[in-house]
Amino acid sequence: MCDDAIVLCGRLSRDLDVLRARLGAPGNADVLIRRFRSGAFESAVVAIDGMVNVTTVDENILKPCMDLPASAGEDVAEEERVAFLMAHAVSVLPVKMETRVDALLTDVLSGQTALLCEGCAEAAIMDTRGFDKRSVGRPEAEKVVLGPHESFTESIRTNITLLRRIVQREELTTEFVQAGGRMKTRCALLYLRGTADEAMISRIRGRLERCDYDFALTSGEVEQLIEEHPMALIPQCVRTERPDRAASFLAEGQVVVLTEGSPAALGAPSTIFHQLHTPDDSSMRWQYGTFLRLVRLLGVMIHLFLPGMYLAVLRFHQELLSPMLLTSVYETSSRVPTPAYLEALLMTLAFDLISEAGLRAPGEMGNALGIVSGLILGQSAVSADIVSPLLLIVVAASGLGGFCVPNYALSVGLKLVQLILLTAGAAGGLYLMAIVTLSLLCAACAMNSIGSPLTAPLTPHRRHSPDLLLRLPLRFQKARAFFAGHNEDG
Amino acid sequence: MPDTTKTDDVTARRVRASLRARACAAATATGAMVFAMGTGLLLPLALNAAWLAALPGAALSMLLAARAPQALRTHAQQAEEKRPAGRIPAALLALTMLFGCVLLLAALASLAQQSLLPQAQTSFAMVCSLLGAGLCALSGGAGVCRLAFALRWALPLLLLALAAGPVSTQPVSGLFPLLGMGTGPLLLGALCGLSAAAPALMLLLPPPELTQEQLAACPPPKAGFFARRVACGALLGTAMLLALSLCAPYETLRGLSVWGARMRLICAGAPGGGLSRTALVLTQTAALLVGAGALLSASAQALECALPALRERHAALGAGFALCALALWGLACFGLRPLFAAAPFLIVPATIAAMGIGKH
Amino acid sequence: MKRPSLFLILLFLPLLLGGCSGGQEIESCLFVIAMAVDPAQDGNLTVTVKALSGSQDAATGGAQSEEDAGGEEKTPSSGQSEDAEQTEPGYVVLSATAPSCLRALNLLSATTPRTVNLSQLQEIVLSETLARTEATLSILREIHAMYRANGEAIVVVTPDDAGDFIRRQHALLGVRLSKYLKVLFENFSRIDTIPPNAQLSAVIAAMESGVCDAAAVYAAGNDFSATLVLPGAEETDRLPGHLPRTSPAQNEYLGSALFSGPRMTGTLTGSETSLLCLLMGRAHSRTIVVGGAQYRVNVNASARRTIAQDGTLCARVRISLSLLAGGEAQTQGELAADIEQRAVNLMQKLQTLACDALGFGCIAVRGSLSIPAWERRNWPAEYAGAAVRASVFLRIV
Repeated sequence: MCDDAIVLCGRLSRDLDVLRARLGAPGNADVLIRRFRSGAFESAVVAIDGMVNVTTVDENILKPCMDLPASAGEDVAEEERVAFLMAHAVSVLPVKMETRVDALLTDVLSGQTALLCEGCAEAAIMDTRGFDKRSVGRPEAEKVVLGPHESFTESIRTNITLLRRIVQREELTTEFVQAGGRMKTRCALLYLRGTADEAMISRIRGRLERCDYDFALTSGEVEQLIEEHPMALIPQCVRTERPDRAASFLAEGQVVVLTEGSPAALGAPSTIFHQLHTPDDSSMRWQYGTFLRLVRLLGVMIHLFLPGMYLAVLRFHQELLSPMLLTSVYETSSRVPTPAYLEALLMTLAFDLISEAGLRAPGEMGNALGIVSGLILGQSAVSADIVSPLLLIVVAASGLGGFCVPNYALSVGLKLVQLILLTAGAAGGLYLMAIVTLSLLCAACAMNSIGSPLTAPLTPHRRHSPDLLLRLPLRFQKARAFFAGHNEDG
Repeated sequence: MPDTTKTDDVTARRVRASLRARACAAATATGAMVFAMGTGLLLPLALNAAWLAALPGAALSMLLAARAPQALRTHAQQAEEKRPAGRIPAALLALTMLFGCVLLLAALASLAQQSLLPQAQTSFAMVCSLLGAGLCALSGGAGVCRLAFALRWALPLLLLALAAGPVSTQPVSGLFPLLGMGTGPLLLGALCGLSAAAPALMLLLPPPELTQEQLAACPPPKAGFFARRVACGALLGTAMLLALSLCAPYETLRGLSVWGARMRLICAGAPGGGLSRTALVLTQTAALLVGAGALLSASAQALECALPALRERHAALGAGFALCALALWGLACFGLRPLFAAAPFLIVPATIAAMGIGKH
Repeated sequence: MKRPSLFLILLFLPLLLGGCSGGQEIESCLFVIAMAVDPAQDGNLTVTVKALSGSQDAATGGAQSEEDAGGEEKTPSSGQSEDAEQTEPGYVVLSATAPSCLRALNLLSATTPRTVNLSQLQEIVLSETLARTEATLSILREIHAMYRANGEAIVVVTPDDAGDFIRRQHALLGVRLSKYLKVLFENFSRIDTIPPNAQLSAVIAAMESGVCDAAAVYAAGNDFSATLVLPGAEETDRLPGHLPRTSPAQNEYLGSALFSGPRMTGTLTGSETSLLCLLMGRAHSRTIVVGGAQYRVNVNASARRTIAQDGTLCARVRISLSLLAGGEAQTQGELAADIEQRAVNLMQKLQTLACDALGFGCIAVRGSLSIPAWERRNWPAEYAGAAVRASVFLRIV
């Protein structure tokens, strides 16, 4: 039994040697292993320096154990010694008892402290995490006018707490899953027991457990693990950094997946409509919410179709232009040296370059960069007859439309779709654009998100609240989302 | 304990939603087929009475759709008894659907070439149409059926609204003489137009996204559930033929020998300039493409029933796509005459398939 | 093969397999705004087009004068392209002579060298000499079907040289000729001095149809030195070309050119055209002056055409006038009788010219069940011999 390095054997020296060998101590300076006398027997604590709250370990584990009288625990059976200390000395809330070395190391590496006793083949794992973490701040990518301004942080415990403050229900269940192979990432699945569909939960859980990547996963990577169409251009889970939004996902029967180290939560399954809605739609009056949704939809349509339609009309369907507009375009196009498709492609890519540079440039430089690049470069390009003014307007309008997409991942996906439609418009006019659009729509309709259709409840039809395009008054919104397990409305 | 009653209700609703989507796809395909055959075959025969000649085909499509519940019950029973479906009716159904797909694709290419891509080679329009249908069918029958369901109001309303513009500026005299070239050609046209009902047969196959257990657990809806929708689609196709008669005098119709030019006649007098004309053509394009995609995926499904060896890795779809490509290549080489010559006889295999599928 | 790869391959295959898609850069097109067709020697046609030059600069050299361009360059038997002129900034006038309109346009495409694009065409001017032949329909069909001309371009017939007509056509108000022409036709249509269905597609449909006849716009240039003033006549009761006015715009659009089938048979003055619009039920709400009084025609003017049992062609008009200024010189009854008489005169004139512009054939065709029965009926002869009657119900409010 003691030759087995997979489980603890009860001989303290041997167990500590196994742990030292695995952690690389004493060469690994972060590893803290302290042997001490606790009553009638020897014990030891194992922890990682910097991950634990040293005061908690000193005051609540070491001191009480070392203060036990020399005869304490004489009559206690060897295998009961850890439990004895838990009952009589240690004043930290124990998380669990563990016998496997791998699981013990995983817990120690996450900031917990392990307590071992001579003769006892199990260790107590206690939550003594005390590492530095960022405080709750404001959302960066999901700013709203009305509504709360808290966002998730990198600490999974803090994020769970933020959710529990909003969803104060006994059905709220947290399951921890260790995803990954050699380096495990702690993920938490949160759902409302009785509302979320059990099959869906087990599907997500299974996909996470089957992951064997050996590097730390971010929420983006977790998303790619659990989604069904990794090659698709649009995401199938909805990501948010807002606790209020994540709470609404829970209420609808979705599962919220939190990842240690990532300040974002994933809601799964989701529909395409989740990715186009913002919290402001619900916070505002229904008229404003509806209006903003329509504006957003218009922005998305402009973003997707305007550049392609511009090229299609110029190259194939000049009869659609009014004579006045055609004359202007004709005169300016005659001076531009590049073909229209190349011109449009270059301008679109230039716009993307400017946005990307503005994102990466530090601090205030980012804002100034966008303005300088847009104004000066654009104006210079038009003055030098490198691009036509109308194309500049088209690209700018299309870019603005792209910024209306609330979900960053979706906006990048739509950008790729825009490029495909741009090429289709240049190659085959409105006809090829129509064919490509219908093909992509078919593909989207066939996609699933954790078993639920992505384009539901619009198609296939599912009973739903009138909250897809128009946001009708709250009193009309009675149906829970269709993917909830106990949804009476199917 | 899971609530089985609620679970059954949810399953029943989901089965109905899938069947509803499939009915919408069949309706779109039938409407597109009525319009395509009307402009391609019936119009040269009956001239401005082509819409009258299309009505019997529309009625037949309703009758064929009404057989869907029986066919679904038979499928469920065959699955339960592990009895394979009849191969010959399935093969005939596959060929019927494929022919319908080829006809719609040829119509689409002709319309595109006459309206949106006048400078393009015909092969470009044909290849685009074929690949569009292939891409739609690649998503599986579920994707195109759901798309048809999503467009179930938008497409008809757009078509009617855009056609109403040019029709409103025309005198009603375009309808007259009411019987067109006379009762003889009208009856002949009506007979030939019966084949336009063929797309309704796709309802005899169950939706591919549903499992046998789901189908077995829920009784299929009544005949009216399917017939109503298919009838609306067919009547929409007939309405478009009526609009065409109103938009152009019979002398103009007689002088037009190009299929696509006939289809775009509705747009000729559209007020609002090229914008409404183009919008109407694009809406027609959408309807034809969705119909062609639905028929292609249905033919792949029927091929899988007829030849179980093709069930692997989209082989049936690939086979259907290849046959379509071959047929379109033949049309590009030899013209549309063989297509129009064979189209009226489509009703024969369609009828045999309809009788064979759905029998115990 | 994985489905996404297949998807992408299928998406881009049209570019590889489909061949030429026909797209072209906009600067490789020659956008024609106005087009004129004249008969030339030896049965040829001269096609003159006014197109966008793509430049806003004033004309530079390279163009021959009109005097130089006469005579020998215009007389060759076929296939000769003539001089280009830049008559105003932004536009260029080109012409070509060939046996058919189609070949002339092809010649222009080959020599310009740009692809002639008629999608922005605003007017087609035909010489009256040509319009009075059977060739009109084929010319218009060629332009519409082969070159995808804008179906809303207005068909104009002129007794002058059609090419000179469009050379004289300038944008006097505003900058763009296309906008100028569009507003011009809209305005004249609003005051009912040009026929309502003079668009290219409508004219072609009417020429092909056996149930009605076409009416195009009639226009001419005014040389201002021989202005004919007809005493006592209404100002618009004239044909264009002799109106008592002066203006930078030489071209005058007034009245209708009537066709019987594909051939022009006569003209209507501006007043007659207004009455034609009223009888067709296409009159607009506008101001008219009768005697010393100014009236407004209300929008609910309606017209109905029927064929009586005895074959009499009946036109019934309901019209409501609002008195705006002046004193009533005539009573309701007198006005109505006056309009009735003028309507009967107009209908008889149309019969004489064998032009069923009012569309009585649309009513007559309802009596035939089939096309062969209709064609056996010989409607043109029936129309020419029928009696006419007009009823006007007029109310002054």
